[in-house]
Amino acid sequence: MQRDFKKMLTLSLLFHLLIFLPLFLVSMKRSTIIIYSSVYTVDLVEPPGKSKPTKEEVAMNEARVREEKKKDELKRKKEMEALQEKLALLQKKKVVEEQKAMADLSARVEALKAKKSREILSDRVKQMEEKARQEEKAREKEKTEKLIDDIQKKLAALRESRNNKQGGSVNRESGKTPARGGFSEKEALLMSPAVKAYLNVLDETVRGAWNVPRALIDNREDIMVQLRITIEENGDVSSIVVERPSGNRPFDESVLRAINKAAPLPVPPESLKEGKDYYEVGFRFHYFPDERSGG
Amino acid sequence: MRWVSDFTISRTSGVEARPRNRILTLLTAVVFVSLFILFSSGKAWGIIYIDINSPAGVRIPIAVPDLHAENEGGLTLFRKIPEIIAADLEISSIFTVINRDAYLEKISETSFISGGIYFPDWKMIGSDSLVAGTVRTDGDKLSAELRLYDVSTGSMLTGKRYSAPAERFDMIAHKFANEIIYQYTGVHGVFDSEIAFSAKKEGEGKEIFIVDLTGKKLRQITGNGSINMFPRWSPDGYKLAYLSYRRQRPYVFLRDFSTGSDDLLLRYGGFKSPGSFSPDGSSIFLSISVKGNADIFKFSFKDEKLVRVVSNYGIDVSPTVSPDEDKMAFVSDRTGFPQIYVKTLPSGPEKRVSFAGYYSTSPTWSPSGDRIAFASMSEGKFSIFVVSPDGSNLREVVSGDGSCEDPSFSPDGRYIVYIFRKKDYSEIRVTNVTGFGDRLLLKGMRDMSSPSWSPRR
Repeated sequence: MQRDFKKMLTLSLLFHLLIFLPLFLVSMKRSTIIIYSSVYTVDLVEPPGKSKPTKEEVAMNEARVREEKKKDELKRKKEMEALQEKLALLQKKKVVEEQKAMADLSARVEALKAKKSREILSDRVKQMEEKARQEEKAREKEKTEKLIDDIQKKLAALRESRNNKQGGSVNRESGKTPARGGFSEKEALLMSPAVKAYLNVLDETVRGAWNVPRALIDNREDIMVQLRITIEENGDVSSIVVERPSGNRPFDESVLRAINKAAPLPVPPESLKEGKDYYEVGFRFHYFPDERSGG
Repeated sequence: MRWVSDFTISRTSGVEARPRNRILTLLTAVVFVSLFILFSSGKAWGIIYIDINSPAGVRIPIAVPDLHAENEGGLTLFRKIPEIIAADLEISSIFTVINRDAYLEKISETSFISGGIYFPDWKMIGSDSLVAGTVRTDGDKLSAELRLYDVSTGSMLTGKRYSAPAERFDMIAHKFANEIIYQYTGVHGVFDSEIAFSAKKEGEGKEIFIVDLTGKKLRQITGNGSINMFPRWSPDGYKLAYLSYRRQRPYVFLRDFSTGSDDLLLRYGGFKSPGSFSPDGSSIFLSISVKGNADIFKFSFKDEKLVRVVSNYGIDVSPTVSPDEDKMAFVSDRTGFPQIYVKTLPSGPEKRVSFAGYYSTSPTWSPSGDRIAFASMSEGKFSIFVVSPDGSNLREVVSGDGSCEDPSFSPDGRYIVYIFRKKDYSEIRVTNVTGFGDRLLLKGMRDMSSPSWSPRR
């Protein structure tokens, strides 16, 4: 009887697994991607009164195009130089900030150490007093020690990160599914200075191109657009996929304009591309109406 | 092998031989399929998301360079038209016009006609869009072609060819500015509309004036040296009703701009204040004081009939009608202090909607019908509020270190014109309904009051 019950249980378990696991996985796989179609319809005005161009005109135009191409290249070069300068500046800034943070932390450790020694002394004096109170003190001491320990660890981590990096702050978030094996690998990649520096430049470039017509956003709540873009080897943006529109048309459009204006984007480091000839990165643009001010 | 005997299904389907092995096989298959689904996709690793919180700007940067003059005559207008467009766009509080000194290029014949505008030059100066065009005059006839480009993609968003009498170049500029707003918002701009108001210019008489949205083109409508106030536009934008004391007593007059007539409309009762035209323009709602008690009436032009709409022992003034003429908002002091009420027409219930300050006045219904703006007083000064007709969604639009009074909606419902008053000083200001982009429209006259935004022309 008991054996029968056991078998029944096993069978039931398998049955459930058989039905629900594929269901679960399939639902997980289904993406909720919305392809954002172009927001403008273009109605071209014919250039007036211009019949077929003559040969000289064609030649002139071609010469002009060639010249413009040259100009364009020069400009790109300049832009790249400017970007690199920006990067260097950023790195300098970060180093200074970290030095400050370290000095701050050391001061705190010293203060806590002093506190700890004072407490040990007073413990000895009061040894004859109530046992309960002593225990309480001990507990407090433990806490303090733990705090010191924590801070020292942090300090060590900071020192380490300072030694092997020149990049920016860590306010990045890895994608949708961080808990699935290989996370540490991904995180290690994210911590690398080249990647951090790159993400910082990307952030600055897109932010700098983003203009939100606040007058058009008559919204009381925080809104957000989440999108994913593909950056090609030459920095061109080959696709924009809006994963979560905000529902506010002027806001969504401002975000798309920003991406288009920021392009061509800085070229990602090899380590991020993972062997592919393109790189996919996501952005989340937030708008907080409370911060609105006149102007 | 009778362990499945409790299962009817198993028994009938005859699962008898080596069930354990089959189940094991199945289980393995399920696990493998699951693993495959999980790891077959590269995206399972996740991509990096960058959070961006604060934009570089809160207006869209646009460049409006000189037009290309196609002939001698065009040289008189090649800068004037873009200047008006630029002023309009600044007023919109949606755009910011990039200083012309920063422009790296001029719009020349080759660049415009052959479509060879070099967009990186415009992107370089931070512009999102570009207005380019050509202009020429033949005698007193002006023709202009104007185009709006998206700088990032180099695509043309809209292009229009205009012809008009040369002295109306400003109209062309306003029309194209309206078109630009339309491209970015889905609703045409209102730059060809005007604002009527009453003010003292010289002497003690209060006259009616009309000013355009740039604040530069000012016209005086009355000039009788008496007191003229409460100008109210007809829905077609060609007539203006107002109160005048020019015959010693307060009568309502109607100025018709299409015929030039200026006729006495209504004598009945004592003090009157025109409120608003009915949406079809066939009648006007106004308050008339009879024997010291002000009530609200509807006066129809055709049969000159006067019907009482709201009657109360309190004072009832400032009627404003919803665009579908279904409801009317007005001011009543029936509870002791003036507050805004909404009445369902013609004889439905009356409900108070203003719960801002202790003294609320000057309601005005938005052209889209979804909100009412009014002025409400607290701590001795007025602020402008908007509220839904059912009394919900109350919020302040604008307030200052003086009083903000007499709101009136733009025809697109996006802006509010109002009077800013502080002691003896007054000025006309315009704000976006969101409260963003509040700016001065006109100052320099005394006792400015009751601005009224005209419909689109």
